Amino acid sequence: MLRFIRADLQRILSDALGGVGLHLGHRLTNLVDHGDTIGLEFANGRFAQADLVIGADGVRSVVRRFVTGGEDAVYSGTSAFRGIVPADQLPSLPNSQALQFWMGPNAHLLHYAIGGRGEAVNFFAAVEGPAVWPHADKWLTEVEPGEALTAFKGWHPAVTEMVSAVEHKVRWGLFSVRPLVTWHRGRALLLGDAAHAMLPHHGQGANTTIEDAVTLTELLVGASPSEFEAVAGRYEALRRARTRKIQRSSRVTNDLLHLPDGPTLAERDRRVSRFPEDFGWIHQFDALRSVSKADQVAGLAEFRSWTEKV
Amino acid sequence: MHQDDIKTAFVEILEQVASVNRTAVTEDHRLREDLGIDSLSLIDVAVAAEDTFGIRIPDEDLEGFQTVSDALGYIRHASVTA
Repeated sequence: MLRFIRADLQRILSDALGGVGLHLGHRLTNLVDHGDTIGLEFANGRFAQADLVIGADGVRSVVRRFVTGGEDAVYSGTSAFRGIVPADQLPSLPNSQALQFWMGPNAHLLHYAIGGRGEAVNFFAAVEGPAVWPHADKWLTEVEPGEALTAFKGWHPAVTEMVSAVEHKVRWGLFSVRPLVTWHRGRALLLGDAAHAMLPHHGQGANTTIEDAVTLTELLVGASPSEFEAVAGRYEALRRARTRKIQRSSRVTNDLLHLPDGPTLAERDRRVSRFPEDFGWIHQFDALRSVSKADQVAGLAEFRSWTEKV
Repeated sequence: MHQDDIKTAFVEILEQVASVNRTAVTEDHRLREDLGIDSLSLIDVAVAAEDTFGIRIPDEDLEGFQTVSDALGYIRHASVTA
């Protein structure tokens, strides 16, 4: 397992491009279907024409609106607080260097150490509610002082110390994308959160996005634009079920982590202790290998070699 | 799609996707308890059914699939109203 700070991962990827073809400051506002190409309109007044558009534009994807025509982002009924606290400000924490989950009624909190010497603790606290998300178009909402701590009233001092060490001005609404039956329309294709945004409880949002990219790249290499329908079909066949399962599992895990005190806790503890076993299928997956097998099964490799001969 | 064709196609999905022996399947079989299809395999079944029958099966509806008969009834209804 490799761990990256997100900024480092971004830099690695953009360095690999060497600045070629990277255009920042372009907010996509509209897509126009021209059959073999797609027209792109941007908020800065610019236009572009593309043989293929890969929409990796997140849970509020503009490309997805073009693909499905609907509004597919669903509020989960849960939200989150985040923070970073110097480890030496957390005297009640048993082990500041551990990756640890704290579970309780209607909330959970997880934390892990960051920084070169593990000098800070990064935490993520998920809570049930609000029941209705107050905004149509943004996933942050302002909170009153003390609102974050309310969800953890009566919890272990390690948790209450951590949550109150940060001044919380916002909470993050947690959204997912309802399972789509197709991820493409014309020459536009979805990838990552745009296709399958999920609750974060398996830590697989970025990972499944990278899997999508690896899978799609393998299918695109050597393919001509006229083969796009076949490529899109194989890509969806390889990715839809797996990402949907992880979405589903993440939702079920949320409910498990937020159980109230009482008779269900013994079952919860039993299931939590089985996490490595029960979720091995998530982590033991090889996206690259999954493409090679499917390529042969689908006959896409045969088709490609036939077209090369023609 | 004719009712019998829906059943045939669905049982074939169970065989291909969930390794269920098609000759052993009856309509009152419970998907989980009798056919051993756990909640994750059920998603494979749902995705295949969506592609085969041109319907959408939201996860909330999937939770209501107790028996083969439940699934067939859902697919028949969804196919007609799609």
